[in-house]
Amino acid sequence: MKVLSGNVFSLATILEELASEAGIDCIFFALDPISLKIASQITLRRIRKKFIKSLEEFLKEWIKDPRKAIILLSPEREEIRKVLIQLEGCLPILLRNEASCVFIILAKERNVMKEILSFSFESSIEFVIPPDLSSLVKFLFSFVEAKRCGVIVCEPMLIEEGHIGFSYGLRTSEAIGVESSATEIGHGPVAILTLGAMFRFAANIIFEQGMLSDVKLIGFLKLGSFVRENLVSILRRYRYVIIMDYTGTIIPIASSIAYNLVSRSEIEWVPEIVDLLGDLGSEEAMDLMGVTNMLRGFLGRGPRTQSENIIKMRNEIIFLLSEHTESFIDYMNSQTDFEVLCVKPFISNNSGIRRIRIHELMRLPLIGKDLIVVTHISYLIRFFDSFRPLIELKDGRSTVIVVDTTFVERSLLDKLLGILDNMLMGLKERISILNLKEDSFEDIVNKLKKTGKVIVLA
Amino acid sequence: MELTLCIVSDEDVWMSLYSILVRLLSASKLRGTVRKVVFESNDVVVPLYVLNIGGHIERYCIEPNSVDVIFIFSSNIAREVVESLQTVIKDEGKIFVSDEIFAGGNLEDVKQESQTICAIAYFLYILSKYLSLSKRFVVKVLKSISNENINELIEKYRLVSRNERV
Repeated sequence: MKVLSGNVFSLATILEELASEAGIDCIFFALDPISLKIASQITLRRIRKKFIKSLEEFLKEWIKDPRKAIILLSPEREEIRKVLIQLEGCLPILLRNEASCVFIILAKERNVMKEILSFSFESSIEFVIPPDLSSLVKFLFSFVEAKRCGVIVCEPMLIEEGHIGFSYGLRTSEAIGVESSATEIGHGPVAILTLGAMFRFAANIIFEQGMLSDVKLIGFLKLGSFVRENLVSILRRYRYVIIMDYTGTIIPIASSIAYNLVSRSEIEWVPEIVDLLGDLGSEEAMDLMGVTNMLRGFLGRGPRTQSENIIKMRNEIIFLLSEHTESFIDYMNSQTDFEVLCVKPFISNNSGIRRIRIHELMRLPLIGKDLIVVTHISYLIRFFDSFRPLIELKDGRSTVIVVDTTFVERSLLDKLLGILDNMLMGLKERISILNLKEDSFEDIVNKLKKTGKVIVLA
Repeated sequence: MELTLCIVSDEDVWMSLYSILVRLLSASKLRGTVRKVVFESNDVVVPLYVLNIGGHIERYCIEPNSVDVIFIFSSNIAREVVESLQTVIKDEGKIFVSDEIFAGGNLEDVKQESQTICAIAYFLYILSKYLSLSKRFVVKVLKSISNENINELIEKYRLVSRNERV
């Protein structure tokens, strides 16, 4: 039995262990902060890390050297459709060549999950959504051992989870079966539908609250065009269906299927379909006590009241800016009044700093004030065309692009700086690159006064 | 004994804390689970590392009055977030804000790197009290992290009394 090194069980250690066992010597990481964070946690020297800007780049690499591969990527909401379509085009090529490649999509937020779910219902790809890390191991091994290709979607809860001090046997870990597309718990008359990690969350509530004889918990762990058939079968069996889907994708599909079944007299009742998380009243957040109370309310086990102390949580990955970057922004703001914008997933403690998505950058030239834009270096490289108007603008405004380099290893940073240098070719007289670790705040301000635009590495 | 901690920090501090936690828990045969959640309060969001030691949480959310200690290793944290975090703290629990921890130590003259080490040292000190770990053991773990001025920092911020130093 193989035991994980260092007694840590997390996505990174699972990948290390799997790569060692299955003879995979190279893992591909997309250039985004979340994939880079996982890459920084992989420390086994014999695993080579390759960094790619797109799936096309991976395919080019793979054609040159066909081998077993794991590919990690965390696409933005705006590009996820493009990535999924590329994946749909890429998979047949890999399958024809009998490749063994596992794509792991790190879904960083609700909207990315929503796009994946909507796409999956019409797609030929089977997406696997593991409810926990043990199941992730099982799914990964099933793909690698069968020498086939697979697509696994990791939700935020799984990406940022770690168990310390445990000795895990990868092959003997308790996990939900990988063969079936849905897993069921309980034997009650009310069906609760969940997806991926939410299945684990709901299962815990049901076990804790002793609801096994009240409900039948059904977890969809694989998604594809077959989900519609699964929904038809569930709506034929249950009059009461509670849906716990934080993306809000399943409910309209289930409702339209129910409408069809009733109109064709295939069922003799009008199913009651309840959107549990939608009823909590917040689009983004959910709270444990709220879910438990609402569930108890629907099952006639208590009033449908919500707790006064609602603790709301989001399914999203965000990172706090470093203290040093925060103090630099404070210093700059004390010099001149800047409009400070922080590109997600990085956020600031300062409530005056607006959080924006990378694709909102296109609107920035319309803002008339001096600007500080904080972003990750991987985004500056991948979405340089979005930053270009800010650099090229000749309106006398001061623009500071603060480039965070967290999770970027030294060798990769050197390469990225080389790429950035090439990208800035022809713009050198308009912009200077400085480093927060080497240059003082005063030096940066002086340079900004001379050139009007600076890139500051943090 | 079961202990639930929440940590608000940037990634640099968290990565240092995490590597020490792995060492500490592995050496002391304790088990822990870490999950990162996003805590929301009146349009302000804060990433929160939830660490459960000795127990076995299977949750992706935090219940009211369930956390023993919250460490905020981040300056300028909105007052309303700190107040909201009070709801998850147990009656006898406590919130430690790094600025307040080192109020007497004048950290202005200490390098950023040392501030991180100092924050970690304090985190370990509190942890050792809650988990009844010997300070000697904690200092050993501390020494394995970085040799740079660690004794000086421990002494400066009185994290371990003189006779307990290794």
